[in-house]
Amino acid sequence: MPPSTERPPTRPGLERRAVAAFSLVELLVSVVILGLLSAGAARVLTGDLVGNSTLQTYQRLRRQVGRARRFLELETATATRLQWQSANSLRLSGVNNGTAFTISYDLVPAASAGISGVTFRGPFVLRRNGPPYSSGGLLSNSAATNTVVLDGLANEQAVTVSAAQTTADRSARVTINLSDGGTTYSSVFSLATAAPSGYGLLQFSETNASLSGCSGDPNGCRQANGIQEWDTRLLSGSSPITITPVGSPNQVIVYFNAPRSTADIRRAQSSSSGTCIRTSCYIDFASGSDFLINAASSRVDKLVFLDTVIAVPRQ
Amino acid sequence: MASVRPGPGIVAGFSLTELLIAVAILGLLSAATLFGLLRSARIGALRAAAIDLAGYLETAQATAAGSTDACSLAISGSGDNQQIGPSNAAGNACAALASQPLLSGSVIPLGLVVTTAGTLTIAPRGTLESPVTIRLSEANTQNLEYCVQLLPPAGLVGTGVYRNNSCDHAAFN
Repeated sequence: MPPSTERPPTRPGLERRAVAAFSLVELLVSVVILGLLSAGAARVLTGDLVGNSTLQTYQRLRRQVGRARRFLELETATATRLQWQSANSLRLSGVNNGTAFTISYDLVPAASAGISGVTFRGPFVLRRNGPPYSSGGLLSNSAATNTVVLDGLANEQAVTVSAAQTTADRSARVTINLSDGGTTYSSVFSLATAAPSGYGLLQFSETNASLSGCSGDPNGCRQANGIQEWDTRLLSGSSPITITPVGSPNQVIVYFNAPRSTADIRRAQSSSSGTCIRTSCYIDFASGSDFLINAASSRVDKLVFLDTVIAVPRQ
Repeated sequence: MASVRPGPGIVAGFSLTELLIAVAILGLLSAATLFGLLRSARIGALRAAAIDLAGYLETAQATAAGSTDACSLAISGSGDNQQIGPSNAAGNACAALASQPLLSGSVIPLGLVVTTAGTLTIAPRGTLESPVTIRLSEANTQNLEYCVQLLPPAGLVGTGVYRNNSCDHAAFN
C-alpha cells in the first residue's frame, strides 16, 4: 500500500495557526529582500550626501582662495618690492608712513604656524609674517607677527608664484591649489593692482641718489628723508622726459598708474633696456647715462632712484 | 510547584518572567538608542550652528572687503533664541545684512551657550586687527564645545572643536 499523502488530521485551532504563519524559508527570503532594498536605499542616500558635502567643500575652498586673493592683491599694492627666492616663498617690502616693512609668505606645516589658540587643519598653511592691520584696515607699524592666510593646503607646492610671460607688464602670477578630503580647487590669478596713492616710497636706506634739477617743491621734486622722488606734476604729459642722474645710483624704478611696457623706459644711448613688473619698471644703467621715459598717453606716478638691486621674477 | 509542560490541548508559550525580561531588555535597548539619537541630534544641531555661523562671518567679511567702512556685528537674545546680526554702529558696512538665528531649524532644545572672545568687528577692506573666537556649547553638557574663529589679518574663517584653550580646526570633521 503506497504511503498516504494526506496529512494527519489536526485540531481546528492548530490548523489555522499553521496556515496563517510564514515558513522559515519565506521569512529568510523576505529578510534578504528587505536587506537588499535597504542597502540600495542607503547607497543612494549616502551618495547624495557625499555629493552634497563635496559641493559644499568645493564652495568653501573657493571662498578661501577668493579671500586670500583679495588680501594678496591688497598687500602687493601696498608694497613697492615683490620678490621670491623659491616657489613657495614670497617677500613683499615697502614703506608705510615712513617706516620700512617686510612681509613674508611661506608654506609651512600646520604645526609650525606658531599661533597660539589655534590648531589648523593643515597639513600645510600659508603663513604670513608681517606687521598687523589696524582697526581702520590699514597696515600698522607694529612689530611683525605670524598669521595664517590659507589653511588646508595639501602639500609644499600648493602655492606657487611666477611671472606672467604672456602679458606686456609681466605681472606676478600666483597659483593656489587647495585640497580637502579629496576635493581640490585651483586658482590662478595675476597681481595687477596699481599702487595706490600714498604708497610706493622706498626705504630710507635704499636710496642713495643725487638727482639733477631737484630743488624741492614746488618743482615736483622732493628730497625728504633721503628719498629722491619726482611726482606726477613733473612727469605728467605726453613728451618724453630725459633724466640725468648725478652720482652713482645704478637703478631707477618708475611707478606708472597702469601697467606699462618696457618701451616706456629706455636708455637714451641704447635702443631698449629695462624690466617692468606690474605697474612699475626698473632700469639698470651705467653711472651717468641718460634715459628716457616715454610716458605718452599715460601718467607716471613715481620716479625713485635707488642703489640696490630690484628683485625681478625668476624666469 | 511542578512546572507546567505542554501537553495535549496546551499551546506552548512564554512564561510571564520571560516576557518581562524580554520587555525589559527591549526597553533598555530602546532607551539607549533614543539617548544616542538625541545626543547625536544635539551634537548635529550644535555643529550645524557652527557651520552656519562660519558662513555668516564669511559673508560679513566679504561685505567688509568691498567697503571702506568697518563691519560691526553683535549677538543678541538668549538661550536657543540667540541671533547674530549687524550692530547699531554708525557707518556699519554690514548694516544691510539680515540677522541670522544661531540655531536655525533645530527642534531639540539645547540651551545654547555662546562665549565670545574678541571684538566682533571686521576692519575696512575685510582685514582684522585681532582674532575673534566664538564658542558654542549646550547649557548642561559643556564637555563638547564647537568654536568658530575669524582670524587676522585676512579674515580667515575656521570652525573647530574647542579644547585645552585652543580651537582645533583639524578635529572638526
